Amino acid sequence: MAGDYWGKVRENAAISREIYRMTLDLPEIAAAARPGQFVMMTVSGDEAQDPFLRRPFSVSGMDAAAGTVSVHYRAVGRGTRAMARKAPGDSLRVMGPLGRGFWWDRGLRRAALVGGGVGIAPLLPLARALTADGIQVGAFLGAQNKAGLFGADVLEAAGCRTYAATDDGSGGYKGLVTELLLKVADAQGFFDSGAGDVSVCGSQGGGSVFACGPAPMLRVLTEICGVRRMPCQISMEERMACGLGVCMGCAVSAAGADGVVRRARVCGDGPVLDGAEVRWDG
Amino acid sequence: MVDLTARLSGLTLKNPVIGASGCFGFGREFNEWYDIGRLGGIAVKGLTLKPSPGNPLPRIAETAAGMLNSIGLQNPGVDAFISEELPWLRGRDLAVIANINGHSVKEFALITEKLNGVEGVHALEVNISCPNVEHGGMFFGTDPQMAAEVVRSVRCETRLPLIVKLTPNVTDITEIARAAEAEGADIISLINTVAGMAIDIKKRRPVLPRGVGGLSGPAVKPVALRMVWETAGAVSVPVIGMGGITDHRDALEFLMAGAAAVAVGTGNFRDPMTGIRIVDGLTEWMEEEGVHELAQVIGAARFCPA
Ligand SMILES: Cc1cc2nc3c(=O)[nH]c(=O)nc-3n(C[C@H](O)[C@H](O)[C@H](O)COP(=O)(O)OP(=O)(O)OC[C@H]3O[C@@H](n4cnc5c(N)ncnc54)[C@H](O)[C@@H]3O)c2cc1C
Ligand SMILES: Cc1cc2nc3c(=O)[nH]c(=O)nc-3n(C[C@H](O)[C@H](O)[C@H](O)COP(=O)(O)O)c2cc1C
Ligand code: FES
Repeated sequence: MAGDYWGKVRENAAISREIYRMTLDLPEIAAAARPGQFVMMTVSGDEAQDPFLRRPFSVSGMDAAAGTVSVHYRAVGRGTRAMARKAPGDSLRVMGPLGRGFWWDRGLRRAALVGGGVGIAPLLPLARALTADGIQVGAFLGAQNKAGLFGADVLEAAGCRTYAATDDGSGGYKGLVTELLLKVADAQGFFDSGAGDVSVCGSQGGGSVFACGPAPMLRVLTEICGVRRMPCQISMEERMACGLGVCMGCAVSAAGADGVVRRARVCGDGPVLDGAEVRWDG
Repeated sequence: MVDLTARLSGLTLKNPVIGASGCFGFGREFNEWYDIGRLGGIAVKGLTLKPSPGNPLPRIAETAAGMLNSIGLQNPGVDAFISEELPWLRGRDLAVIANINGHSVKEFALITEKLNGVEGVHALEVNISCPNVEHGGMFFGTDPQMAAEVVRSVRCETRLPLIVKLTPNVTDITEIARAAEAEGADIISLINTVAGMAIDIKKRRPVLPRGVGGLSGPAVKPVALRMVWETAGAVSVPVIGMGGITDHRDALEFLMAGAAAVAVGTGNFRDPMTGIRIVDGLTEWMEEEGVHELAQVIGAARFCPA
């Protein structure tokens, strides 16, 4: 059950030229959050009316023992720039954990995690949880350039094989992360393990893809996985007003098991959706 | 003890705070945060005759102290509302207001027919003010003749308290309000969103695919308040005021301008507790001020010509 809390900033710093990490004291959220869930942050003060709406961020780390929650973010607009100016000791209002996170079952043996840009964020707690369940995890990180890559340390510490790709070749493979995934996964026979019931993650062949990133990347991935009959869960990003499932601002189209196309709210039915169900053209 | 009862012709609310249409869903989500039965009422998401998928994304663009929306009345349709949502709402202790939307005068009448005599619907809110749909919507609310025609056709079909919701996108809102009153509206509610726009300078395109969207939130409050003031002075039926309300002080401004009740929309998005915070804030304020009943506040700011 989500709540709305004052989170005191413990640490807020640039970890590269492009990416910031903020850690806040939020014991309730730290205890309840599952990988793939998100929070809505109020970036203006309690009495301020502007910016009015909250901003959604994936939980990139939760430490129930320490009572802390982290987010990784890029300063792209007035809300995230205001966040970047917060200092330890400042407080922000944070609502969460929200939405449906990633899911898996005991049949899952191998997972490929694919993150594009800040979409890497939700994969960090996911990798920890999967490896803790004894699942073999390969992580594929993509960004425009080296400064956009992060999390390899966390992923490797969790025991994942980690691969990186950048558009300009400044870090890892030069090209798209989806190309890199195909190369590595095909060489390792990863997709051979997928054939089976694509709707039930891991139940049949034991493999699954989990991804978060820009929509074009997610779309290509779901196509790749569709052809290879590999389950693919994607965490989507849409403009949100409420984050609570009431405003319908974030409603994408998705086909259910019955084939009927319905509206799915990214904030409530997602942000993680079954990639095979998403209808990209509305 | 203070008495927050709001008496609007034919519709009595235990307090004057209503969840605004489109900003409160069908109540379930907010009931996870507090007992929505503590509010005076809920205006449910705008209903159409058939289920409607709404507009393409993006549907939201934040602007200074507010937001533009272009949801386009995504809703499950009036039948699904009655079978799926209403049974749950019946168990809650608050007035249920069905916000209805037709693409034609006839459709308004058809939806009304379906809601007539249905247990648990306490009032109808005729939305002649949605800026986000191609056919109908705001078109009906910008012309007194058209507005009158819609209200007449709904009035013929029902004895439920009839609320008519006005758009601010007109030169003289009192003209439309009077037309609605003349055709038998029991209550006038306003404002719906203000037609607005935002442009993505990088793409050199409007942010919203339809170009225009509806502005709401604190940014519209002064405009809304002025229009509530004007309308309350022009009609004798009660007025429900809304537009940018985020706390009990905002609500009091609307009440003092002459509104008999208020609705809270966009404020819920920033803080899910907004509705109940306003109820509690009003109660405390009245206690502190020694105001015993709500009626003492309504219209308190209006000049009294001798
Ligand atoms: C479920 C979810 C998880 C996210 N997780 C992360 C994360 O872990 N790290 C991160 O850096 N970013 C994340 N984002 C994107 C992040 O919400 C935006 O970067 C942020 O809202 C931008 O706010 P701004 O005020 O700086 O930008 P502005 O452009 O000034 O914002 C204006 C409005 O547009 C919205 N908006 C702008 N860009 C986006 C976007 N890309 N997605 C959704 N709404 C947007 C804002 O919320 C705001 O309402 C996530 C988005 C969603 C939906
Ligand atoms: C996302 C959103 C959806 C809305 N949907 C409806 C609707 O279905 N029917 C309606 O009459 N008004 C609708 N409105 C208008 C609100 O009910 C209200 O009149 C307006 O937003 C001004 O109040 P506010 O500033 O408190 O939000 C909607 C507003 C928003 C922001
Ligand atoms: S953001 Fe409001 S329904 Fe998803």
